[in-house]
Amino acid sequence: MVLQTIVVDLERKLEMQGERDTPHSEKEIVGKAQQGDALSISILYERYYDRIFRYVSFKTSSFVESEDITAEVFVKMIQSIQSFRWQGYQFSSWIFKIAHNLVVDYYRKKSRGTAVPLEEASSLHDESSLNPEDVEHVVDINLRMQSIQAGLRELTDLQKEVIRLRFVAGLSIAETASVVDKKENAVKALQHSGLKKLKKLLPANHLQKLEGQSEMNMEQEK
Amino acid sequence: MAIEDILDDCLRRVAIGENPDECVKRYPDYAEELIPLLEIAALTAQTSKSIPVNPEARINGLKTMMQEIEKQNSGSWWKTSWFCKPIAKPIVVGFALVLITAVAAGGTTVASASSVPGDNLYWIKTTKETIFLNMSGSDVRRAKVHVNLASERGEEVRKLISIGRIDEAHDLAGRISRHLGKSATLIDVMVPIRQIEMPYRERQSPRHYMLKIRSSLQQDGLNLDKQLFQLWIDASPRDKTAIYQIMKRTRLEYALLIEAIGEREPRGHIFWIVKPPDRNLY
Repeated sequence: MVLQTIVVDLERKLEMQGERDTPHSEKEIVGKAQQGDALSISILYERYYDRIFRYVSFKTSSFVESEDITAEVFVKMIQSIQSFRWQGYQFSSWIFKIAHNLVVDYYRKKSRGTAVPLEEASSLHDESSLNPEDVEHVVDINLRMQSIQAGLRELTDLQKEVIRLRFVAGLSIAETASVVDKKENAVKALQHSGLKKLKKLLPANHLQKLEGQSEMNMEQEK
Repeated sequence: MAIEDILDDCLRRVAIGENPDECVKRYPDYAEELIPLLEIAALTAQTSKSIPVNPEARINGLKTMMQEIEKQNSGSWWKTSWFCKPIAKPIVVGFALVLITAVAAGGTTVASASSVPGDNLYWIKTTKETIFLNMSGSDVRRAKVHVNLASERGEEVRKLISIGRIDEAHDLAGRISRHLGKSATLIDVMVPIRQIEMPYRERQSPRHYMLKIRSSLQQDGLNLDKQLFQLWIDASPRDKTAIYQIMKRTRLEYALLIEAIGEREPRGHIFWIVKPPDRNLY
């Protein structure tokens, strides 16, 4: 009953405030999470799980490994959330930095055994754990991801990180700047040059083909 | 204004719902360069969003996180925190289960019950559903839960359409199909997906349970159809097509399963009865 009251109170509060996504609202949630409020921790989990999973998936190219790394991100979050300070630093930047570091660690460990370069990791997702009806969808996503990842490989490390943080993780320019330790203008320039280079690497007909595949699959689903 | 700033301005506007063409019109001199860059950005974002998130992995991740809290709780630096208060500890340890139970017990008092995909607490609702499914003992009961979940997804589709989130409603309609499909499998009814497939079913589930499921399907299917039709009447011409597609799809899927279960015992002229393989052979 205690927890139920907390749930209802916080939900109502959030509803009334109507500013779930504002920094103030997130600040309040992070503040409560730092004090050990279980609901606030779970809200952070819910808010960031999908975005972190997709960001990690774009880096590792493996759903199964991305799930493990994503779970580890939240374990790290619990371990170090009390040390987080709002000093010109967004919580989102902080948690994505954890995700980035864990992916780097993951490849470091992996490379010891298999000597797989960071960006040359296996490009296929593990489809064995999926339902049969999902496989076709996953194959389509794989094709699109492979094309984008192939393009990303030709970019500089900073360019590809900015592209991933902006369009996969959905971070703002300011948040991205915090993660990559650059000024906002530099991030804007990296974003522009990165997209421009991707455009050259993914010719128009390829783009149309990718979009066509996506539409075709949607039609088939209908 | 530099092209980097113009591009970022357009990306920001598109992210909050502005049509890319509208933004490009603001900067006609840069249109040629802007359009393909916006397309690439959209394609990357769209591809990312289409990566499926496994609900089981999400729950497992939550469990792992809760275990870590428990671990921290037994450590030293959390000693002074909320986690270590005697009354709080059991709440934290059993958070997932308690939360789910609380949400379940709360019924309409808890906002997550009326949430739709994209809402802050929607995951609580889906987690609760997963637990209920796992707690439902027999296949027939689970089949009934899936029918209820299909109905719930139908209600969410209706809500999403009514607030103009047609594309998301379309995606969500696919989950109605999955719930109905799983329900069919659990009661040993195979619904043909393609015309060339020969439908068949095995007769294992008690008939009266199957008829109850059929009755629920008829009622749910009809309710959803009525609600979607009402939304279709009120929709703009552009949305009408999308809503019609959803209507057509859900109507067909409900009808297929209702037809597959049938009112009477099958006589073999529509469905092939397939004898389960002899397990001793394996």
